[in-house]
Amino acid sequence: MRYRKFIPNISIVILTLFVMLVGVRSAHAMDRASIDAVQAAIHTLSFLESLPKDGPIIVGVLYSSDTPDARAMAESIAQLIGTMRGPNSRTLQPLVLATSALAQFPGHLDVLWLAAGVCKHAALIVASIRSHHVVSISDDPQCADTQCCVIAIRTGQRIEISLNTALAGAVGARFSLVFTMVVRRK
Amino acid sequence: MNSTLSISLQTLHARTALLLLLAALLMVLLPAAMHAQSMDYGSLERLFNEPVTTSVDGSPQRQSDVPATMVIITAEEIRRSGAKDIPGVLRHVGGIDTLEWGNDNVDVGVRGYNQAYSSRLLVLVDGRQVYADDYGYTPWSSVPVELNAIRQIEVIKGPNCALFGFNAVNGVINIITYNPLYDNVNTISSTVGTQGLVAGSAVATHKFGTRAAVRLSAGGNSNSDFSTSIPISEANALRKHQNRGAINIVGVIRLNEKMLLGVEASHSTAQLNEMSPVYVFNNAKYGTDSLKAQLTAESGIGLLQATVYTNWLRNTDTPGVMNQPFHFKSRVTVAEVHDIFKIGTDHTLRAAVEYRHNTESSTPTTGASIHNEVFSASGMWNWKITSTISLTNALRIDHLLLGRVGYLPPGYPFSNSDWNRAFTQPSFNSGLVWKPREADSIRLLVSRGNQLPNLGISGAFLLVTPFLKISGSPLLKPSVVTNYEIGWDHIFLGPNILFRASVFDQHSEDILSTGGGYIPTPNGPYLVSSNIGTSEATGLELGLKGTLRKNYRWGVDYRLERISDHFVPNALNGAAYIDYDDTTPVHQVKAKLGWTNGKWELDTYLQYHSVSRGLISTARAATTIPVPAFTTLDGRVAYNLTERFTWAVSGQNLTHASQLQTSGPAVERRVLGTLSFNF
Repeated sequence: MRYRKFIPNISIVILTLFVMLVGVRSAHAMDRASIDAVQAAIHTLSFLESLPKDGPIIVGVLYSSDTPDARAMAESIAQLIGTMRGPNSRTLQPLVLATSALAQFPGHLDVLWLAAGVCKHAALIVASIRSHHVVSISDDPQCADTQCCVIAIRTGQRIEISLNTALAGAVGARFSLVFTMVVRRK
Repeated sequence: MNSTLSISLQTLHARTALLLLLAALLMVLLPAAMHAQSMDYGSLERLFNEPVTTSVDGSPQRQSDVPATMVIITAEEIRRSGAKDIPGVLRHVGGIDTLEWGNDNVDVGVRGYNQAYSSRLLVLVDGRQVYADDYGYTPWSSVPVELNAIRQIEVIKGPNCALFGFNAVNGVINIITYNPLYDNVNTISSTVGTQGLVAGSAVATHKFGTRAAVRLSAGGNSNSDFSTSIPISEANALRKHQNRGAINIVGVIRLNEKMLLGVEASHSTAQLNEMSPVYVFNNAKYGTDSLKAQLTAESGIGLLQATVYTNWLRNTDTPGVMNQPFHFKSRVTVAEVHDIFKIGTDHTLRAAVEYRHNTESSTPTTGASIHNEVFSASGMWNWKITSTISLTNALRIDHLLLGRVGYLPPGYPFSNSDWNRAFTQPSFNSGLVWKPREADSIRLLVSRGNQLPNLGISGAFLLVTPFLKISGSPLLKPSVVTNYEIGWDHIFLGPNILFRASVFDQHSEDILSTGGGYIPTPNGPYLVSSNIGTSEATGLELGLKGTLRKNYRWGVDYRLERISDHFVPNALNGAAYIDYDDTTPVHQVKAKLGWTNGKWELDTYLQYHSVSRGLISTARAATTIPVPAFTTLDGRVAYNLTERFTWAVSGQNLTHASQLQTSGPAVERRVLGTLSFNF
């Protein structure tokens, strides 16, 4: 009997451990560098003059439909973006998208975050952002090589922002002159 | 005389108006596809996780990329300094020297070379000069800026700012205030403290939709000076009660999506006890006014900016010399147009033209005025040679015309035509920044700056008595300062520690002095200002700063500097009121430790100066006396009562009731209590 009265406490401990483990797993799903990169991406929107002035900013999070666990990662990123605010405290509306659905996506996007691994679909992405006039942003190192992101972000000891001026022009993105002077231009 | 002055003023107004008209025309004629954005410091800082500046070469840059040795003091650091004024903030910065003559009277220098009425430092607020043209120094009490209105204070060491032209010889301090269009700052604070200090300050921002905003800041204080004894040689005046009042209003209007117009007006008054450039105390009164307008536009040809401002300064010093008080009245008008643009992806350029007109009435003998006009052109080229190497070259040419009109005392050794002189002076800075690895940045810098003879020593100061005759001189040459410097920054990746090292070698020619010259006349000799020789400085600066367990922040700075003056015989040992090698401490150490825990903040600042000497006035000229080594401790404890209310106790020189730090009166301990409310 004496043993039984501890059972609820043990349950709480187990439950707490479970929550902590899930929490830890979730924290592992998005490391500090990725969080910093997403934050930096959102901060770049303050300098995007071609962004519509009103309404929520729709941020697509593109994942590779042929990569296992990519959707879960994209949802973590979308969840993080949903907690942030855009320029002038505007609401950010995240939307998770698979590469397989990108070409036929009927809606409107302002920005497209490219999750790790999607750059192998560079041709598809470039065609899509050109036709939809969307600014693509990523911290995937491959995005600079494959030239599928307008803004490439590298975090670490120092945040590096690279602007692909040709692609920015192709998607109709206009950034403030001050911004273009302070970032790397490719 | 009056008609000549009138014609001169008309000419000035006509030229200023013409420049403004040209600037306006330039703006109107710009291509239609323009998109305006002035520097949004806050958004850029959030983006890069570090402050951003335009003070070094005129283009926007991250602090870690600038081709200069630079310190940016953030708003948080200002708040946590516990200081009551700007010199109180600056004294915690490595490499900065402060001479604290009184409770409100501090001279600030960079890398030594600090004297009473320190004139080798260019001080700006949002690019507008706030140093006084009469002696080229900064009366800090009259600067119309509240600490709560400051976003960041940018300190550039050495003459690495050619774009600013004259006076940026030992460094530049550019105080950047919040932009009401981007920053919503609303604060009221009230302070009481020792020395009878009572102070209040308020900053309020109001936005009119998204297109216009205004920021109003105002403050005032009243206090007594130190009660420590004034050395006999400096006891020219009894101390009076000190006070300060200032108001500043800034408005920014987005004229359309393409163009921003900023307007600013300020007014300040200050009364304080002040160490004069001849090392005697005077009771000083200041009154300043300023008006400024700035138009910014993005265009197909770059980021264009046209600025025009006028500063008025009234300065009275009593009892002056031989009971003849000084009444300086000066005005400076500056008009500047610049364009920053990129060529390709790797080249940023800046082109600028500037016109400046200064005028100052003579004092204490009245009836004359000195003026100068400066026509300037400058260019900057930043070339990103590779992804790890960038080179910046800036060149500025100043063409100065000096003039004098008005009364000539009988037997005066000069005629007005002696002031009809012209100088053409180049200044430049060149900096190579190499980042061999992500954690390392190496800077190689070469620069040349010019210190203009201020209007006081150019002739506005004129004392004619039967027994003593003192005058500025039209024969002065600008002092030229050349600087060579190597800097290295290294980030220790694991513990997040920034290490900074700089080695500099600086050569100053034609050092300017208020004295040192002697001209015999039939009516008696005139003591005149002069160029007194050269000075060499070699120094090493080391710094470490970091954070620990998120709660702690710390930093240590050390400076080793040796200066060697080579002056003419009658200026040796400070005889001409200038002595740099003896008065600059060889060793300077500054350390800080800060801690945050929940609602509590604790910050401490330690400062050590090795033994040096200080200038004092004597019956004939000046000499130096020893100033012992000293260590000071400053600190601040703050508690956030609510999200909006903060209560703080701070202090300076906490370990000693009074302590000798200069050749002037001993510096007293100060303790302040401040209640702040953010709304």
